Amino acid sequence: MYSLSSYRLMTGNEAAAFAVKQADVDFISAYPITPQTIIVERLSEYVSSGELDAEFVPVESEHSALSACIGASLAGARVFTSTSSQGLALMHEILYIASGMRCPIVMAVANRALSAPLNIHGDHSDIMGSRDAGWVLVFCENPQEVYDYTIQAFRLAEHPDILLPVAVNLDGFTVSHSSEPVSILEDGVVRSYLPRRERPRLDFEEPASFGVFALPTHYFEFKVEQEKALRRAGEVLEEVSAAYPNRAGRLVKLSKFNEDGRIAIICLGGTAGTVRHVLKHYDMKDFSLISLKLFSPFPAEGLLDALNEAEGVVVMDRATSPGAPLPPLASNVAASLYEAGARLPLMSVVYGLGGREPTLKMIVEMLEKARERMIRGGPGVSRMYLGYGGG
Amino acid sequence: MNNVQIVGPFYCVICERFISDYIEFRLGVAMFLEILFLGRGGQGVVTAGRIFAEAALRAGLFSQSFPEFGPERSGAPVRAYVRLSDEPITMRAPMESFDVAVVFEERLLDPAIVESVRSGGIIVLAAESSPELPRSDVKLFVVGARRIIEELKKPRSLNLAMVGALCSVLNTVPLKHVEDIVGRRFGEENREVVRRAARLVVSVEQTA
Repeated sequence: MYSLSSYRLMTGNEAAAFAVKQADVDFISAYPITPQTIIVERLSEYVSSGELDAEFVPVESEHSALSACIGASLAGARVFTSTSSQGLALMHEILYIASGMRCPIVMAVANRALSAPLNIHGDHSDIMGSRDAGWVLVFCENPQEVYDYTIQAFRLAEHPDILLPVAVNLDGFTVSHSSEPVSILEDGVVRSYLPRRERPRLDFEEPASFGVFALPTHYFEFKVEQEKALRRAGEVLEEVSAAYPNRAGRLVKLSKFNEDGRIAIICLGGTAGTVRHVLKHYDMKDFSLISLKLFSPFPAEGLLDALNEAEGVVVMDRATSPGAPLPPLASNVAASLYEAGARLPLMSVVYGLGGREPTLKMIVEMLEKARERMIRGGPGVSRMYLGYGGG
Repeated sequence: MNNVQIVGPFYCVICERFISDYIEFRLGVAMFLEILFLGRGGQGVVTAGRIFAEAALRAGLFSQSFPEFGPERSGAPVRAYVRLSDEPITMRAPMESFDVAVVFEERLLDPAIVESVRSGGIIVLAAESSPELPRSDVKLFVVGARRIIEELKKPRSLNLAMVGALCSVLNTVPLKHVEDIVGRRFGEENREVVRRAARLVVSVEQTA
């Protein structure tokens, strides 16, 4: 049974800000944007009240926010920023610079749709548009995971074998604005989990160059080394999460529910919680749920293990890739299956664009459709827009 | 006192017996309750939901509280939602029907809201008189919340009165937890707002 005495009611945004405070960051630079604003608001309160001894640099845009973060990170500071949607899009140029210069910045992204048409609600279009920027991408199902994963993100980012930025994704509004019980660690426990480690930095005594000009003779090697570091993050994550004091909060690559279900539902972020609820309360024993916590580096091996017994997969994407054969998550799953020589029937579901949060009825409808297709069709790909009202 | 006709009884699959009261059923063995708070922008509707969710957490229940997402305007109808359960709440689907609706003003109780309350559910309404409901399968409770805050000279505490009334009607989260949260966050003198609303909320007989 759960003991709720150590829990606090927090929104996803509040949980992110609280984790960052406990991580004792040195530098924050951010620009407010819905639905992430509360993260930055709370942090600026922590800094102004003296609860957090950090430099808070207000800027005129997200482009500047991440630029400032890179400078501070290269000076050796522990750095945090946060954004959403258009803000992330405006940062796009700098995202590649942060990862290319190997800055261990942690950023919370309260995922939100991209304009046009203008929409402030949740979907994953923003981060999926930047998925090749070389960041570690983590997805959270609820405020508790936002808290736990944000703390672990710092240790992962700053690991000497990694030194890459990490984006912690929380669904705009449905996680960022939902108040739920969050079990928090003591300040001291977080401090000792996140010791400061030496890393290459700007230093007058030992001069080094960052952000150098790399001609065709070197650029390729830089980029491949960077990609190798990102792949290593998958292994290092296991070490980082194994050391996390709250066992229940460890950042796993994926979590599985209803192990014995023949049809696997693969999902990122908060909607996994709704699917979990439906599988549990509607007694859907045919289905298992795989809630992916790590999107990049993509945990293909772990996913294939989890799909070992599966007879079909349903992949839920909260973003589209117009013009591509499949949306981002389905594309990664299909490529992983192909690599393993597995020809499972795959149903690609695009859902929730612009905040159209799936209802229980919609999830049940999706499961019924999946069951019908998996029984009838052999291998191959089918597609569905869940909750789409058009013709 | 309460002659409400209840549709039921409700069969509980866990305890394998019929329970005559819907709310008792939802609160009891099957413990899962969905609550709507409906008021106007500026009345502290979202805060009311959050206070109740926090009090429930102190009482050892899992709770989830969230606002109607999107832009809010002062004076326009505003909704907040709370889920209570004795196990972790993983779903984050929008709430479309409710076990309980807490309505801050009689004019906001339109037919669509009355319709969205589940059969056997409850409406807690801030009103000075007792309106007739078009349904007999829903229990109506009324609290003179406006009079209470006027008498106590706490014109901005309507939301606190409504949480007090809700707490008293449901009788599952100790009023003390609500009082403590309110006292700490909004000043000790607001405890009396909560207490008085909890004491003065009354069940209204439906003749329909």
